Amino acid sequence: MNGQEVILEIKGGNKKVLLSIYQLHRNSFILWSLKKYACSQELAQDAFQYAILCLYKNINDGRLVQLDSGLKSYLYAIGKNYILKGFNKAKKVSSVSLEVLQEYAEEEITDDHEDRFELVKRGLSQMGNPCQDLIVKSYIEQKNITQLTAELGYKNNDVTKNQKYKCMERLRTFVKENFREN
Amino acid sequence: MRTGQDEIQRIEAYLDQQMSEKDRALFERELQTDVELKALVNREQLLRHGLEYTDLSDLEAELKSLDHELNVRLDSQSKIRTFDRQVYLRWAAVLIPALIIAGVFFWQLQNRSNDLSDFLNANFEPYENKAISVTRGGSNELTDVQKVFLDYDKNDLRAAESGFRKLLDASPDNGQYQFYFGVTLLGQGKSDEARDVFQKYVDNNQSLANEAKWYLALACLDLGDLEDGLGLLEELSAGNAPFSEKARDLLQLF
Repeated sequence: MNGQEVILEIKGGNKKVLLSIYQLHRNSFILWSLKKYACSQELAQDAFQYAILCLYKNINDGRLVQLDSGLKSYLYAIGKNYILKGFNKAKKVSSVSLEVLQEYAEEEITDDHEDRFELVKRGLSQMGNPCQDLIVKSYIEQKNITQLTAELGYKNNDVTKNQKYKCMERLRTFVKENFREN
Repeated sequence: MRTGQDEIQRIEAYLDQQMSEKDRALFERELQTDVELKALVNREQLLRHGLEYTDLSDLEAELKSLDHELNVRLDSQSKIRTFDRQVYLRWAAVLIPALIIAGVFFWQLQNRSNDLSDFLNANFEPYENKAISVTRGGSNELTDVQKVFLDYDKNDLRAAESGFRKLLDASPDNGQYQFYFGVTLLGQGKSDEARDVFQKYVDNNQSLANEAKWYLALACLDLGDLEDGLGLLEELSAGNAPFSEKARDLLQLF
């Protein structure tokens, strides 16, 4: 599978491709990192996970539409930068996912933000369908109202919009109430 | 606080960049003066980041769970010692090509499980039987020893292993039996026992010690003992002994 096919697959929501890519390149990246930068194995592992998550995010956000240098080079470049940064800074956030978000965020992710993100995650997982499906398709898979209406079988776009609003209100309320409790 | 559906949809249109330039400019002007609106926008952005975090952290969890399947040996047995950079370098020089080979192999097999045992498959070849002739002469029956080596020659490693065990029970110090026994074990992926057998053979400085070092190196690498495996390959690559070239090739791949 070439870089362009990978982009199309991920854009189409096929996350299994990412797992295959991870499986294919992870160990060689780790050993390359150990040799080249004498970093810890843990840092190299984090770096490659970071690279995979960035690949995913950049494709979904439309920043990456073509892989001129090849997939492996792309991942190695991101991973390498992560390792080089890792030498000079202590971890500010608690997971690789948050580090990816931090990289693209306009402001620093604080502990408060982390807590809210965790609440969103918990709220979504507790929500059940149709809300969970609607929110995932809308905000994570970034489908528009017309696509949502067709895929989820709503009567028309207005009904979908209303339903989406209600679902998001439930999530907002969950975060608000539980954040106060914390 | 204004939280009506219309207001939320207006904020969403702004965040999704679906406003006209004119509306966007107006909205941004409003944002500069309307603290409440700004707070709402921030809240929506945080919510979106939270949803994105949910997606990324789910993927991260999948990657981490794959780590265990993928590379238990690398993670658990080859604890990299940060104080010894040279060891890093030597380990990496062997394992990277090995893993690349394994990676190609796995890709071709549609991403079946990936570990260092495939490195062994890619590099292991049974050693030619130079010890015992198994050609039948006249009406002579094969001896027990010849029968074991015949199994070995037929690449029936399981039968050969069993035969060598019996021979070694009777003659535990026989170097020939030890060496070929080690090969039958390694050829079946029994790297742990093979390593012990070859280590003993090498320690006793037997006649095929260099050949045994090659197999010992493969066993060590298969077990994730990168330091010893790489050390043996470097030792072999320095001379002109059998397998020196193979060791050099392996080291030069990366």
